[in-house]
Amino acid sequence: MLNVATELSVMEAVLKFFSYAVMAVFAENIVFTQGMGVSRLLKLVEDRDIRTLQYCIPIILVQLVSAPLGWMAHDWFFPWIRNYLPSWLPITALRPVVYLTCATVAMGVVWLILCIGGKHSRPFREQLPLATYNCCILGTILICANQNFTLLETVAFSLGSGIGYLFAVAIVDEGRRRLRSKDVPGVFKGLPSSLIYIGILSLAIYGLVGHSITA
Amino acid sequence: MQNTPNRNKPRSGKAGKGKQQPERSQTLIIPQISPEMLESARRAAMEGKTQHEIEQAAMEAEQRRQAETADAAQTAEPPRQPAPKPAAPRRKTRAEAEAELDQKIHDDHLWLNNPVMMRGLGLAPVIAAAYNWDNALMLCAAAVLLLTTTRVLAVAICHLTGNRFRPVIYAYSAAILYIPAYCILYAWFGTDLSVLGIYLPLLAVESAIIKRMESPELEPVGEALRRGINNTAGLCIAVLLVGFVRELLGAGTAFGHVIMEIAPLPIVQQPAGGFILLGLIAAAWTGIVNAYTHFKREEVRHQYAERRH
Repeated sequence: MLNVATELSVMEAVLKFFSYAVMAVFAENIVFTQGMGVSRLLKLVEDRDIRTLQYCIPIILVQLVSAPLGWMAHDWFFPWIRNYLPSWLPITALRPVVYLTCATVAMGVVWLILCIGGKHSRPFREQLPLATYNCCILGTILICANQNFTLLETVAFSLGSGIGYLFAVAIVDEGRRRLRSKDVPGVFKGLPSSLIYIGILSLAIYGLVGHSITA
Repeated sequence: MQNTPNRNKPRSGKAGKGKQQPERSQTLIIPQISPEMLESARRAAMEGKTQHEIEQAAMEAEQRRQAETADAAQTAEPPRQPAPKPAAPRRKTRAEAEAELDQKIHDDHLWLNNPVMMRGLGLAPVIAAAYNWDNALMLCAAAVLLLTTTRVLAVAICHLTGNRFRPVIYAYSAAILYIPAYCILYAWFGTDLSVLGIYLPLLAVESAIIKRMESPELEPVGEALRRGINNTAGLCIAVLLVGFVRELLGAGTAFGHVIMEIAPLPIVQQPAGGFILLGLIAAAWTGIVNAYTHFKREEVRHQYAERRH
């Protein structure tokens, strides 16, 4: 039987989860505030063959699965391996390879999940490797590790980052459509106008929040 | 013409029968006659030979002369043939010249097809971390250590695996090479390296470094080395330029020295300002590149327009 204290702690955890997820979607958007995954995003919005969801759904799933793995690597694996490393090898040098392994394991899990979908999930599976080895995935794991988030916070922030990436792609896609106007000078067409557009959106978020978390 | 007497035919009729002309006084006409033949024919006529004998002797003399000429030609060294002139290089067509120009533009990763300014690669560290000269220098050193080596190692492994598992190979090549690269960078820059935060380990999956994984064509190792060096140079130029401008505008300093008392545009040191400033620099860069490529295309067009006349 649940008592009031337990109910409050569950409610608190749920609230915390949503607050971290919402923060990652808007206030700490991985694209607009950290500039991660912009290169791939700009290619994605230009590519008519790939739909936004085909690329972003794998990102969200990989983020979600890799988050607890990254948390375990940060909280368990690194403290353990530190004792066995030679003095000349700083532990920070191993971060990319360890966190990439987390992302690769997550990719395998997501691959199996998508295989259940059969033929319909094939476009998602095709984009899975490119989505996995993206700045957005590794960047989120690194931010969570740097901020010493708890497991709950890590999962919430990772889920929010994935959704935030989808949000950023949708906004930039719409912006790019409008930026194809003839009124835009020739030298600004393409990459320059997109960067300025993302910059203005980023400025709006910066003005709203007033700060960004330390990366 | 019918009344014209034929000098070669023996005359018939009374005149012919009464007083026969001596055959030796007849003039012989031999086609393609040589001076030697003419002389021998004249002598034979003087000796009183018949026409047939004279012709026979002339023919024999001509055959002897020809045989002697042939023998002399065989025994003598063959005349030295003039060396064949080297074939003149085939003139390129206009389409070929334009294709060559396009290829040259595509291969120039330093200016005309710069990875950052023209292709939008490696934007995360440039926007978020390269906000002053020192950071730009550290990123530049990291790119020098990682970019070319990753590309060469990944291509070499892809040759072994038959070009399968490209994304995994490229990402892990960069992550494994990051370990010695980090040690070298730590020896060079010490604890200053921590200023780059997560953007240094993020280079392992940065598109400027592992973009090639998206291409299904497997390049040779030598080509990977050449392109890797070109891309590194292009990335470094862009990072250093952005770092310098952002430091100047955002802090009013250049290479750490105070230039202006007041920072004219502090926002450019934030990611938002970095996006906008990079967009403006990319626009200026694009304008210059477009003007240059337009000039080169016009040059090719004029060259081929003149040739037509």
